[in-house]
Amino acid sequence: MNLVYLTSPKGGVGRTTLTANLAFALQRLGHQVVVLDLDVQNSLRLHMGLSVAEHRGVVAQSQHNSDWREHIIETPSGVGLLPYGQATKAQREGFNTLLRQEPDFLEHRLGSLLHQPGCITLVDLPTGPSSGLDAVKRMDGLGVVVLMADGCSAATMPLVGQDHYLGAEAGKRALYIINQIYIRSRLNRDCAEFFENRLGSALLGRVHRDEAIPEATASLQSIFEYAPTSAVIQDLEDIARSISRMLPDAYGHDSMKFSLR
Amino acid sequence: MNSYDDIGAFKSKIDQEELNFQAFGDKNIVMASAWPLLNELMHGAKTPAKPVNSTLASNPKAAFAAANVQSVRDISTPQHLSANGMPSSTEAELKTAADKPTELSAILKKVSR
Repeated sequence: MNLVYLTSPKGGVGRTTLTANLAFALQRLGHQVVVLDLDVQNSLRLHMGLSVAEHRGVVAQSQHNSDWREHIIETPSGVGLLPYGQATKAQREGFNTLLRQEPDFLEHRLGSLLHQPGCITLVDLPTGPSSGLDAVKRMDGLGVVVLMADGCSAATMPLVGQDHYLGAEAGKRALYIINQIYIRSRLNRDCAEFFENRLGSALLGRVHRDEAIPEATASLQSIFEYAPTSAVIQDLEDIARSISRMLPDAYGHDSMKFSLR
Repeated sequence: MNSYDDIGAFKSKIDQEELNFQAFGDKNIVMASAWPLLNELMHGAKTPAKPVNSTLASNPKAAFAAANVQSVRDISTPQHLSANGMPSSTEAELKTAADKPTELSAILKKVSR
């Protein structure tokens, strides 16, 4: 199953931005990429270059037994987007109930997209435990925990393995990304070293802080368009290659091998 | 030694009209930011900076049919950089499956040569 979900025990670590940038990086490797926003903030659409006025989303029509592939919005970059969308309180509560109570809800809605060769689905989750996280945990996807190199993120690491969050089993399989590392900060460097020692091979990669990233969002462009020479692009591409290799169905696709050998 | 008359100085200052608080509510302030997202947020949904491809949005089945992988941007196309070193994001560059059918395998073969 070519599913990757990004979660973070602490808010404000840049998870949604990272989700969008990894989608662009995976697309540049040749994958078809679809991003699913399960965060009520509904901000992934802005990172994907859509208008503020774009209110369509999966939550408002979740009660209908429809295939979500019909609701994918083609973004300017070519990445497919399933936004959270604008929803009433009742619609949000109904959506959360479906996620909690129907074990195969997401799998049925996403359908064959999850097994389509060469295609990768990225899911952006809200901060901390959520009904969306419970739903994706049940699927055989790749869990990625996003942290920042600071004391608070380090302190929240033990939460990841707790039952109400990823749980022991998914917690052991989870991979980690340290986001927004600022190499001129001694604390950032020390925290990054702490994570490297603590996580070992579970550390999927690190992304350095670059002012061009929020500027790209404000410009409604991807970082690859806005600052193609930025050093952070190397970080994103390294992580994207690792993710691609970990998904046999996506990586094993004949058309993918050219860029990964 | 003459002591400085704080109270007197303060009274004379607050009598000056130019020190009155300025309120801008009655003035027509136009915000024009260098950042398209801020402009869009300020002016509401009137001027979306980049339109969504309405063809695909209205016909997503065609773009994301289960069998074929489509609509990946042609990464072999060199980026046109503007004078400031940034790529010019014209609509012409926003190639999609509807504009140009691009099967994934065809693109990748082309790139791998």
